[in-house]
Parts: sequence; C-alpha cells; structure tokens
Amino acid sequence: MNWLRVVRSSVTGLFPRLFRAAPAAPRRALIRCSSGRILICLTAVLVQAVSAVAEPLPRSVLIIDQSDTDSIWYHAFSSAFRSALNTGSMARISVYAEHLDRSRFGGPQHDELARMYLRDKFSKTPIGVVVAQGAGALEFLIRWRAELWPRAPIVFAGVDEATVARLPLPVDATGVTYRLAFRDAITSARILVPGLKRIALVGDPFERQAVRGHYKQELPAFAGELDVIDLMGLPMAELRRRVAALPDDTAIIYTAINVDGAGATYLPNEALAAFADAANRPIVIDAESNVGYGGTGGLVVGAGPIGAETARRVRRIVDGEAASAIPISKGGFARRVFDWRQLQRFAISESSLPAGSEIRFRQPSVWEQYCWQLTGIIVALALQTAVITWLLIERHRRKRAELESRSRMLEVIHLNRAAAAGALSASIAHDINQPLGAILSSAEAAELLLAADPPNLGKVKTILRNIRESDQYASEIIQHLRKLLKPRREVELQEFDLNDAIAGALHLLLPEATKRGVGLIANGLQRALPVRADQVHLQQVILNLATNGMDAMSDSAPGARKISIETALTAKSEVEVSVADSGKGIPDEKLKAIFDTFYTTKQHGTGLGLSIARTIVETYGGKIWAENRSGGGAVFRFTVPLAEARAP
Amino acid sequence: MSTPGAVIHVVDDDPRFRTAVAHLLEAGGYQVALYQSGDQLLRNSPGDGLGCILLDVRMSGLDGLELQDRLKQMDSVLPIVFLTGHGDIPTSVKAIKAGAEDFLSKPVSKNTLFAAVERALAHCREQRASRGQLDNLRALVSALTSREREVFLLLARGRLNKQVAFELGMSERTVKAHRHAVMQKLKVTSLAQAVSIAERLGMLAAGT
Repeated sequence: MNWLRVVRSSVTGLFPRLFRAAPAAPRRALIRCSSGRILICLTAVLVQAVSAVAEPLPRSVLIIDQSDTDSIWYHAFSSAFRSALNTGSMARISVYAEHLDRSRFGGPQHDELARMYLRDKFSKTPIGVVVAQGAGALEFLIRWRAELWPRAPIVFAGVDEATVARLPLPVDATGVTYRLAFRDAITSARILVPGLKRIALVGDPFERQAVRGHYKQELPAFAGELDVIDLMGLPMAELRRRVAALPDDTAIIYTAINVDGAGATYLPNEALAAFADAANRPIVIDAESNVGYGGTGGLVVGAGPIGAETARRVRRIVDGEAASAIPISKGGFARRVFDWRQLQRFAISESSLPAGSEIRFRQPSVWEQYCWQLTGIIVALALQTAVITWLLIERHRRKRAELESRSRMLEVIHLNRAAAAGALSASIAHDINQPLGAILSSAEAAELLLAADPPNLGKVKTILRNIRESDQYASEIIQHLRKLLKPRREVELQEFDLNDAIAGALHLLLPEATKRGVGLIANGLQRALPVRADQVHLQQVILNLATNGMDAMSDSAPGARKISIETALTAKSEVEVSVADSGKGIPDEKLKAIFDTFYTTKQHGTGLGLSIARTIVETYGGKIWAENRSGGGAVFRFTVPLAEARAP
Repeated sequence: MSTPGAVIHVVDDDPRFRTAVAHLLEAGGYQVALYQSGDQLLRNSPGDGLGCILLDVRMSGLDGLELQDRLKQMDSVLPIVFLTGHGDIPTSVKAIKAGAEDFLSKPVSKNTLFAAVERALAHCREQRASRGQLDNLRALVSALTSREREVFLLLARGRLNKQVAFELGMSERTVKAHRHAVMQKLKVTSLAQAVSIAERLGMLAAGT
C-alpha cells in the first residue's frame, strides 16, 4: 500500500520537469489515429494476428485504474480479479497496477506527466495485456496506448455502456460494461418508499460525475411525477442538516461525492457514511462499494463480478485468443442489495422487497442464533415452572391438611379436656357450694346482727370480709373451670410459670381427690419455672395423669391413696414434672403401650387421655414416659424445655 | 329461739364456711364450738350436755358418716344434722338410717338451719330425759337379788307362779314371797307395771 502511495504521488507531483519536457505528444497520437484509420486498423489486426501466432504475449497484466488506491470499488475489483486470474492455472500472470485518481486530477498536463511516468517506469517491464478500470482509464489508454504499450490488447472494465459506445475503441479491445440508469435508482426508491412523492438527490453535480453524467438528461422524465430536492454539491455540514429534515414520502438518491461543496475530498463511501447517520429518509445507492456505509440499498453494480469476468478475458488473451474475437460483455452485474440494519432503522419490511434481493449485515435474531439453546432454556423454564407450581400447590395442600389436622387435634384435645372437666365437675360443684353456703350464712348472720340493738358492727365487718373471701374463692374455681372448658382454635403460646399451671390443676383436682379419699401432695421446686406453651394444655396433662392415678387407686385401702406431684430440673435445662400414685402400678410390658391411642384398661375409658398427654407434651418439645415405683404404684413423668434456656 | 346452755358443735374442714355458720348461729343466740375435723371433735369429747352436731359429709380425713359411726359407738346422745355441698341420695339414706337428725344441702338458709337445730335440740332434750328415767329403773332392777331377778324375768314373760316354782325348783310359797319383794323393790303395784319396766330396759329380748 505504501508503495502504491509513492507511485501515485510520484505520478502527480514529483516530476514537473518531465511534464514540461513533452508538450507535443498528444498531438502526434491524434494525427496517427485520424489519418488512414481503416488501413492502419486493418494492418494492426494483421500484425497482431501474425505476432500472436509468432510471438506469445508476455505473461503480465497492468491495471490502469481511474480512481485512487483506496477506492473500495477498486479493492473489490482487484481482489476478485487477482483471485480469478491465477485460479486453476500453473502459468501465473503477473499483475501490476497504476492509479490515475481521475476524480481529483486531470487535464492534458497531468496526463502528459502520467504518460511519461508510465513509459519510463515500464520501459524494462514487458506488459501482455492492459486493463482499463473505469471510463477515465479507458480514455487515457485509448489516447496513449500506441506510445506506451502498442502491442498489448486492452481489456476494459467498470465502464458504463454509454461511454463505451461513445469512445473510439481499438480493434484489439474488449471488456466488461455495466449500465447505470437513473430509472433504476427511482425504481429502488419506490421499493423503499411505497408512496414515493419526492426524491432528494445527493452527490457531486451530475456534470462532474463521469459515469452518471447522463442522469441529468434522464431526470426531466420523472419531474412530472416526483418533486426533486436538489442537495447536490452542498458542503457536508449543510448536507447533514438538510437530509435530517426531509419531508415524508421522500427517498434520498445518493450517487457519489468525491469533493463536497466546501472543497473537502472524500471517497464516495466515506462521504455516504459522513451524512447517512443524519438522514431521516432511506438512501438509495447504486454501487456495491457503497453498501454497508449507511445506504439503505438499491440496484447496485458490484466490482467483484466485474473483476472476475475481466480476469477471465485477460487470461484468454494471454493464452493466445485474439482480443477482437471476444465480444464485449454487457451489463448483468447489478443486483438488488439492501442493508438489513438500515431496513430496520426505517422500519421497512423485508417482504416488501422484490424476490431475489440480497440482504446484507443481517444480525441474526437471538432466536435464530441460539435456537436450540433457547428452546432448551424455555423447555427447562417451563418444566421448572410446572414443578414449582406443583410444589406450591402441594405445599398449599399440605399446609391446609396440617392446619386441618391441627385444628382437629385441638378439637380432640379440647374434647378430652371437657371430658376431664366433666369428670371433675361433680366434685367441683360441691366445692363451689362451700363458698356459696358461707356467703349465704354470713349474709344472714349480718342481717341478724344489724337488726339487734345496738348492732355489733365490728362483727359485721368480719363477716363481710368472710363474704368477700368466699366470693373470691368461688370465682377462682369458676375461672379455672372456664379456662379448661374454653375451646381453642389456635394454640396460645405464652411464657408462664409452670408452678401456676400445677397450682391451677391442683385446685381443680382437690375436690375430686377429697371425694375419693385421695391425699394430694404437691412438692414443687421453690423457684420460678418459666416455660413456653399453652398453660391450659400443660394443666390438662397434669389433670389427665392425676385422674389416671386416682382411677388406678380405686381398689386401694382408703388411707393408702396418695397422689404426689413433683417438679425437678434436668441436666438439659428442662423441667421434669412427675405424677406418682400408690396404686397397683403398670405391668412392665405395657409401659409403652399405654400411650397409644385407644389403649385403655378402664371399663369406661376412652384410651385418649395418655395419648393426648403425649401429643401435647411432644408439641412443646418435651417427652413423656411411665415407670413403676420401687415402693409400689406408678409414676408418670414428662419434661418441658425451660423458656430461659431457649432465649437467645 | 335460743336455748341457753345448748352448744352447737360445727365440724367442717372449710374455714370460711365454718366461720360463717358460727357467725350465724351466734347471731341466733346459740353457743358454738368449732372443729376443723372429726378427729378434733372426738379428741375434745363433746360430752352429754344439751346440744347437737352440724357435720359436713365430705371432709378430708375422717368423713361425716365415719364420724357418725364413731359417735354412736361412744353412745353419744348428741343428734347429728348433716350439711353437704353435694347431697346424693345413697349418702343421705345411709346417714338417716344411721340415726341422723336431718340432712341439709349447702347453701342452707337461716330458717332451715335454725329449725333443724331446734328440732335436734328438742330431740336431744327428750333423749336426755328418757335416758334419766331408764337410769332410775335400772337402779331399781339392780337392787334385786339374783333369785328375785330370775323370778321377775319369768313372771314378766307371763309364767304362772306354779310354773316359776317348777322351773326354779322352789315352792309356790317361796315364789310368792319373792314376787312380793320384787314388787316392793320396783315400786310397782301391779304385775303389768313390772312387765313394762322389763320391756323398757330391753330385758325381754331373747336370750337375756
């Protein structure tokens, strides 16, 4: 590339002396061409034919390119040309290239300079075929070939049909033409903007454009149907402003900008990229070299196919075929190409494009790119969702079942408690008549005392106190009973002193114990026993155990009936409550079975009392078991964790 | 309404009820003695004075019926009025059959209680009076010689002099003499009166 640059600058600027030294050369060539044209041409053909037979052409080709070395068009052309030229052949053909940079340099002086430069440069390098790339290069060659490479046939490329028709082609020239028509650009514009009403023309003024100069003549044909917004020859900054504010139903038709209105030079694709991002309407392009620089698309002429076709012709000629025998290829190199990104930008549906359109730069959607992975993920997600949903439903059902079983259990526990209360109620009723009797008698005593003269008020005071105490005692009993009978929908977890629960249980048990002649002994620890549970439930456990104990002693001698309730601390910060009786004890093999539901030894037992006691104790994290005492009788023990041990 | 000298013995293990009844009875003019258990009553031997016992059926320790039993064995003349918080028929029947004066339910009204107490005291008084007559008769009978006693028992059972003489192996004249002595010692003027004494002292029961 560096070398190419040096060549270009040397042609255009480093040899002013050479340029001045040869002013007469063009004139000589013109004379030779015009005088006796037919004869000369005929002779040339004969000479060529003879020499072709006699002497093969050197296996080298020189490309004279009209553009600058960095031209995208040329690059596409050149790489296709080079790869097509030496494909499938062992006999390689050397390729040289020179650039005229016609868009920026021209005129007789420059041509003269270029001619001398080329003559000197290639004086020792034989050239078999000269390729003219572009109309400018072909014109240059037609003018100077006789002097530079008189024997080398010309293969031209990248020249539009109209130009070829206009130029005086030598006989040994063949080539590849293309056709650029303004009509095609309009067609493309109508594809991109269905209700097209206006076109905005962007590019160098037509008269400065070598290959699109004829657009100026074609334009009036459309003036009736379309409004034309002429943005040609504007400075880039202004152009950007104008293309950003175009009305609807407008398409931009971009030809080529090499020099903008402010004199800045561009490659056509560079210029396109410089304003395309500002445009608010789709841009129609006509050269493949402009695809990918912000143009939306159109019928584009591609340099690649032209390069390949050119290479095939060069090879045929180098291999001995006469250039004059190869017909000029016409057109067929244009394709509809669109830039997917721009289609997206202007929301143009692919389905509105003609069949066979090529869409480039398509960014495959994530779906297209990762179809399998996405399908997998979706399936996995769906499965996961299904599993989670199922689990949630299961969880919900389980929770409901748990709640139901819990409420059932609470009901059963309550029924058991009610039964226990019922069993004790006869005794409790007796117990309640005590304070009631005391109250009645006291009140009547007070009446008598007050009726006396003088009334003994001191005694009445004592009596009133007695009434109050009796009343309190009665209400205590009723409270205990009510607590016991109150149905519970939920467990009421609270921290309380276990001693209180035991005291309450004793209160309820005492009348029954008295009735049955059972001595009730309570030996509690002299300290607070904070536990976390439902107080009534633990009381119920004690009631169940004590009532069981009393039942077990129904056959014992009246004096020997004793229930003793004791508390002790275990090593594991638990409190152990034991309820011991002096009955017959439990057969050793039954010590476990007695806690089973519906296991009973009593004639009217339900078999629920101990089972419920176990359920309650285990609910609060304790254990319950039975033992036989060495001195006779059974002892039931249960543990409850102390609340202080649980606290963090 | 009050009866001077009468003592009402209240036995109840509930201090509040005990005190309340005591207040009521005192207000009614009775003299009251309080016991928290049957044992305490027995230890303090209420004696043969005029009075009655108000007894709770159900108590820890010695219960009401047991105490009634013990008092009967001790030949107490004090009538027992039972007071119960939960009177059941078997218990009341048992108590009445064993000689209870009355069976009241707690709570008991003043009028009911006082009426029962009065009845019990009247009964007690009677008891004490009849017990005094029998004691006199017993003293008269104890003055008889063994021979005179034998003759008295046979005559009381309706034997003729002749039959008594035959059974005891003595002459009819001797029987007549004994009979005369018996009549004199028993301070009766007719045989019928003598038979009545034997009956009241329970001497006519078989085997005696």
